[in-house]
Amino acid sequence: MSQLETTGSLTAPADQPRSAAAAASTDLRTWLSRGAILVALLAGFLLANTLPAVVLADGSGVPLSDVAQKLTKAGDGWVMVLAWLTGIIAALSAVVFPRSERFVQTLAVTFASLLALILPIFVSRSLPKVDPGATALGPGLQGYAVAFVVAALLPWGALLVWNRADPVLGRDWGKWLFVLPAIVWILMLTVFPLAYAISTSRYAFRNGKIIRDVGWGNYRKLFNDTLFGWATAWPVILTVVWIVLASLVVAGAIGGLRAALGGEPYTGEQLRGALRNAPLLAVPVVLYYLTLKVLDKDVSFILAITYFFLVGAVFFEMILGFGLALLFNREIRGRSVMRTILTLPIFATPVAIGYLGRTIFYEGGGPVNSLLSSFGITPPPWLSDPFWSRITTIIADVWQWTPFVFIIALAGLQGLPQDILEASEVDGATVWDNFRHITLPLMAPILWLILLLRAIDAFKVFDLVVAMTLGGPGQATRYYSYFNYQTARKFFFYGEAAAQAFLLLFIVVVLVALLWGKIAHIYEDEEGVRA
Amino acid sequence: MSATTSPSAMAPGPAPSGGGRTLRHALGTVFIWALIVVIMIWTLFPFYWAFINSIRDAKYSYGNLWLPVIQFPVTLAHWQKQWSYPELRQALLNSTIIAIAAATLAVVLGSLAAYGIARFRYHRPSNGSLTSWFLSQRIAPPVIFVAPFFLILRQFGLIDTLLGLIILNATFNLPFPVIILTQMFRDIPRELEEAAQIDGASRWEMFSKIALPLVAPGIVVSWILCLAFSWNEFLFAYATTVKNRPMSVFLVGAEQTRGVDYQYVGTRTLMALIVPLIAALLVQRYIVRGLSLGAVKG
Repeated sequence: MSQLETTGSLTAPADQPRSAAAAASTDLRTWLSRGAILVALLAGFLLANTLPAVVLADGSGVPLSDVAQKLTKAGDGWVMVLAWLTGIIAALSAVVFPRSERFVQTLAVTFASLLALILPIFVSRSLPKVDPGATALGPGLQGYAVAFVVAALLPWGALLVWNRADPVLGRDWGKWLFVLPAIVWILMLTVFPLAYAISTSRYAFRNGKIIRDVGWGNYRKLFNDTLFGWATAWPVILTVVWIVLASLVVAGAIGGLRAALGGEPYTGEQLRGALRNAPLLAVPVVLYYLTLKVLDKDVSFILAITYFFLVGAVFFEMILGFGLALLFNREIRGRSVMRTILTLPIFATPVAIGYLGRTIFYEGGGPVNSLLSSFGITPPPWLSDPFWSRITTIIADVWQWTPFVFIIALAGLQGLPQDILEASEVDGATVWDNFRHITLPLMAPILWLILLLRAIDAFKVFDLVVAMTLGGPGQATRYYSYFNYQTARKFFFYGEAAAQAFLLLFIVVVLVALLWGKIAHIYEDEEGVRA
Repeated sequence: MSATTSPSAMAPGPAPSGGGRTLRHALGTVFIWALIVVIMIWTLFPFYWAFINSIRDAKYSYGNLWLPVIQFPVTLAHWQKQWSYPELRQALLNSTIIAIAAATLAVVLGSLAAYGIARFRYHRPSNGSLTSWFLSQRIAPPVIFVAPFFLILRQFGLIDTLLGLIILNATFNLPFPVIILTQMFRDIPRELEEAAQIDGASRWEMFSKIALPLVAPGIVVSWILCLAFSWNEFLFAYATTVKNRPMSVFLVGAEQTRGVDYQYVGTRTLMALIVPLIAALLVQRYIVRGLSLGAVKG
């Protein structure tokens, strides 16, 4: 650790100024060593995929694709995925790190390419799994191993010999020790499982074991035939175009209306600003239309009830939570006690809440029913009717998460610049004016963020339905996460489950992309270190 | 912030006359307090319902009986009976082990990463992309990971083990310590560490001897936050455990047969809820920042 002590001040400049010629020469050397690493990695990839990977007793060879098939069917597909992933990470780290970070670059390239050696090592150890007659690794995998060892050594040569820097380790490499453990952890436990899920989604399973490669078959199962013939696909595409055009018109009209009401001229600048809101209208409508039109009828039904739950729950949570936050944004004795009590639902175990909800909404004399009856109201069939069971799950979700909206919105309101609000009040602005022209615009990013977080979490709803309704009655509350879970763990169709999961991920990513523009600038001053 | 705003400053409009303003103010106060009472009842009702059922005999379950001692006698029999089940005690122990280990792991990894992001400038990948790298954990729906995690854990013999669940919970809770602690490390004056550096402290010593003690409250809070969320975690525990069940899975184990046995449900849910509810009471100050991905300062 002696390097840590000799490093300079905390904020060392990136590079010392150099003359133009020297700079060109270092650039050349940097790019040459990067190129050499990439060439070595590419050579390993090509060798493994062209020459025989394993040789048999009779002298014939088995190509890597067959070896991969055999390993995957034996349940060892993770080796292939890990080899792919580490190869890509090695190539990326060869290119991504700047010259001043060569030591970390070297570590990353070496670590990743040595980890990629798991493929030849694993294959040589489990030759009988590949073929009963297999005797040794073929030239393909041997070449792969040599090429990756070369790729692991090359950056050391660059670091120590032909692109040597002073000091060798770079001025500031210690800083990477702080972030690397967490980065490696996430690479191994988030990125690798995702990559594994991608490879899993190619296979058909029976009883939890891979039976055959179906290519895009698991994804195809999510759709009906509409998109797979011109005659049926055309009307769908046309309708989508119409929806997009209509939402542009509506967004423009809303902008015009707002300008007219505010008594301002409607300029081209404002029109462009208004049109920027069109996706907020178009994307959800298009998503909903496509869900009903092109998806397989089971998936389509499940997604439709999930949207119902999401829109119902998030709508009431946002309205109630923000409304309460506005009401309580003043001096009230005991506000902190109230805030504390309101955090309890957020932390309550969702399974326990669902389980309690089952007794609270019990139709044979539960507390809600006996309360309602004593007021002479006939209680609805909380958990036995498809529509009402969805409402009941929404009520439980609203109970648990309205406090979340409330607490964050209240903190946001208290962070608003009070002097502006007071100044405009002195100028004679009404409460409504202040709300409309100061509070709401300033709160908008936070409200969009809360909306996004709640929408993502609503897609995740799982614990609640398992404990409260088990997806019932019938399929009425079998929301997407539960449906997806059952495909994997009840029916053991892991491949199909992975494909379904990626459909959900796609929808969530569309949602995030749609709203990110409204939120991003909250984080802008968080970029980098504060000066 | 709120200390600078007097209640009357929030009252609407330029006051026409003193009297009308006071009346309006009084009405507003009454309305607010009525609302507070309604919200408190609504929020606390499920907990209270579980509580009264856990301390009364089954024959008092029906017919709007709400007040212990006055309307029905109190008994601790259900608590004693539930506590006598060794499986339940084992489930509580499992949950405790998983939650403590996962929270500790997440805070160790997270505090290192947070210090790195707060104190140093990275070029490629930049500080901003490192932050979003950690935040993106919160975006992917966890059900995506059920199939791959199950297959991977099965491969490494970690199905139905506490270790498997510890690793998974540490992974999914990593964003919270990173978010909370990055901001706290940034708020430490840089001069403190620079002074230590002049005295010959290594970078590791600057972190462990100077910065870390200063953010001790943040460490504790993010640890408690991770502890509560690991305790509440259900999806992966449900997907991977058979024998080594934590409390959340144990709770729904008998749901089909005992769905409306109020005493049984009330006692068991309260046993599961005690830990996260205590955690909620302990971490008040930092909840907002942790839950809003650091976008809102609490």
